[in-house]
Amino acid sequence: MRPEVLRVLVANEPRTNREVLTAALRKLRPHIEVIAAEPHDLDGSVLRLRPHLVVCSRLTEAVREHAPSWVLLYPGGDSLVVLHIVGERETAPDLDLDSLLSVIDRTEAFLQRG
Amino acid sequence: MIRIMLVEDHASLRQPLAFMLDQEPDFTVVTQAGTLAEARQALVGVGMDLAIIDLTLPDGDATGLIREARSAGPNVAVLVLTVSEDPKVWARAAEAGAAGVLHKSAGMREVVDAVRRVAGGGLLYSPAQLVGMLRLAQAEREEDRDAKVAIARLTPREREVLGALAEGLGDREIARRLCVSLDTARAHVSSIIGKFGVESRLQAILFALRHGAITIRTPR
Repeated sequence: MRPEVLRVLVANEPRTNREVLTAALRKLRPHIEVIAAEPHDLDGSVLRLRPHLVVCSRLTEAVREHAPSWVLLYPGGDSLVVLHIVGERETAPDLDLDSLLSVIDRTEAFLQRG
Repeated sequence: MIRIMLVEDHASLRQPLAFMLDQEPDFTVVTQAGTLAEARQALVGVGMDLAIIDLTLPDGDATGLIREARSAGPNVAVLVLTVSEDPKVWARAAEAGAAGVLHKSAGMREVVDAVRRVAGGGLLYSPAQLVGMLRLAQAEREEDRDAKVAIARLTPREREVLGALAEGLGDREIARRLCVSLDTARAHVSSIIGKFGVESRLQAILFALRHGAITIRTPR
């Protein structure tokens, strides 16, 4: 049975940030599925696509309940990033690209372990 | 090759943007900065053709950085990327010499196209838009100058009263604090309102706040 492909939903604001992040992740992790979604359609996208990792600017029940991992970027404009990586919670003042790739890789490793 | 400096405090945008700009065959990101201080340090000795600047940085407003970046080398262009929708912010950026201001609702392709256009000596605004923004910036400067004159006309007593107003004190409390009659306290408040050219004590507080005559202390 083929291993499931990691699905990452990028739904943060504003649009420039969202599109740049989506494009960079697609280049840096070409083997995973990276989908951009409008923030207003976050819950709908989570329920439709069942992503393994969500990157968002606001945390909703749908994200909490259905995404094994999520990254909350600067809620309310604060200099804060909250990471929930398959049950482990971390916070940081910012999130660099290497750290986000690490979140992806850790989530993928969890997914492959089944 | 277009050499780019990127000034943006959010690493989650700055680093992917630098990566994606480097994917373009004619761009190279030569330096990045997350604060005003880092940007000023990075300007020293850097050879660049274009700076992409976010105006809201954790250690201050980066409008002045636009001028500094343009002075860093011959023909350095500046593109501002901002979440602000305030026309005055855009006007100040244009007046400082930004060749373009893009809101962060722009898509990535739009950013890349803007970089190429501005680096090639183009502007993102039409001549009419640029004139409008320069007029707005000038009007704001004049308003600020008039406000400073008005504030300078306050007597020391009126400054005390203004400070008390900013603390939320009413007329009776002001009179008690200043050991003056209620009528005298009210007269001071009226004088402040008249000198500021506003219509209420709330507007007087907002005027003073906006022009730096008072600060509001947040309670611990």
